[in-house]
Amino acid sequence: MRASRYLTWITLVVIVILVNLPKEIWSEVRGWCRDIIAPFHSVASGFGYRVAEGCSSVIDPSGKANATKKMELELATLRERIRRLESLEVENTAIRAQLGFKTNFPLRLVACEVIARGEASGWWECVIVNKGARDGISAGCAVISHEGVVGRTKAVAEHTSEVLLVTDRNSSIPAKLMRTGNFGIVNGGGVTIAGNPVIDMGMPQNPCSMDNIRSGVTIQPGDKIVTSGLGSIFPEGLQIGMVVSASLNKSGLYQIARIKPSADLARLRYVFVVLDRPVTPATSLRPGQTKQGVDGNIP
Amino acid sequence: MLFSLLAGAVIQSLVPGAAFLGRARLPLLLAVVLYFALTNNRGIMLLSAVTAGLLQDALSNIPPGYSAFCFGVAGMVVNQYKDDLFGDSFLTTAVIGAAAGFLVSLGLSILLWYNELIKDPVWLWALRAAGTAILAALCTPPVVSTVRNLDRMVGNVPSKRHPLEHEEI
Repeated sequence: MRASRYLTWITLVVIVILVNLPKEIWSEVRGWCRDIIAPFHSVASGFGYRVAEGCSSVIDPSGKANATKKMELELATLRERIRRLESLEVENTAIRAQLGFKTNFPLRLVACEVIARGEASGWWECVIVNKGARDGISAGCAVISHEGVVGRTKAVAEHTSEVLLVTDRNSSIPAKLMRTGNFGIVNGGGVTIAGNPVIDMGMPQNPCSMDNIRSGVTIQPGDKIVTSGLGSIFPEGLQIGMVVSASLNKSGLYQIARIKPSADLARLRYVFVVLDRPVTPATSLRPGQTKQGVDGNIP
Repeated sequence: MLFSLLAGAVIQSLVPGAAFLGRARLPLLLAVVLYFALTNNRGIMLLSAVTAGLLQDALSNIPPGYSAFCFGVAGMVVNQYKDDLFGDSFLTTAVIGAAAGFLVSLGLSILLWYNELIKDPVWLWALRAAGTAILAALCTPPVVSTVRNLDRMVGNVPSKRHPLEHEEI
């Protein structure tokens, strides 16, 4: 009985210490916990992917062959496109050099695999990827997939990183309409759509919106939305999504566009963390400085 | 205790939440805490609540101590009335799980909202609390039964006696 009473007091003291734990120490603890759990996540997600692949090959035996054929066709098309783009890039670089513009460097990407969806509590829209600080990733890096913007890194441990998705309510991305060039901010709606009508029952089907677009701008469904490069996270020109519908906000001064994200957030498997940050006036080079990335790495 | 909590944390963070349940996750850590609340003294229950809370907070964006506090309160209430409850009954554990899941989810929502960490509307809180209650009702009985069997296997609690064993003696 006395031991139980001591244990009660000790645990109450532990709760008080936990609540008042400094942020830096808590980040370290979280990092350790995530890295300990990460191997289990990797094994389980790998098993899940294999089961899903096995099921799909049983349900649709010709599906794999068709997919391979489709990918071969896409590969040939893309190779041809790259050939044309390479010649255009040479031409573009020469013209930019003649005009005295700064050369655009290709983005440095780190390929990662998604090992867990969401975090343990379910309050935030996150995924966990299998690369972390050891691979050069830091908090606040843009994360993209082959389809478009996925989100940004939030908490980074040694071997894993947590990615806050564009659909989270805490996510805001400076963006612009590709067709008109008008600026706005893409905010998350809070729910990632699974793509299954039963699971998504009653949920808003366009989980993002672009706010603060000038009221006079004509917005058409299907307009592409890309990152504007403002802020210090997302480089310019990454595709975020497409406009589904637009309406005036309550004040009548601005428009709100409902957006369908380009990336299939419910079925993410491979993503890329962008190590480069956009060069803003604060981070741009002063005369005489060496050309280095924001993180101190040579681009 | 540590093994069951670690296993619960791994599974809880792996199973994604369904949108129609307000993205509520399978509350396995809470179920483990409820098992210790139903079968052990207050000290052990609080120890399990703090460990479970620490694990949940570390694997999510919740500030440290929030989950431990909510788990602790839920566990203490159950622990207070454990002698009046049928801890072995499937239905009792399901009802306790549902009530605790609802209250813990709502409590965490209020704490997070008060600290401006979430921007979700109130209807989503209610949906998530209801979702957590449903999932807790479904997962608490099997978790309680599994952890009890595990405890018996490792010898933490005496193994079940056969009903005829007494007569034979």
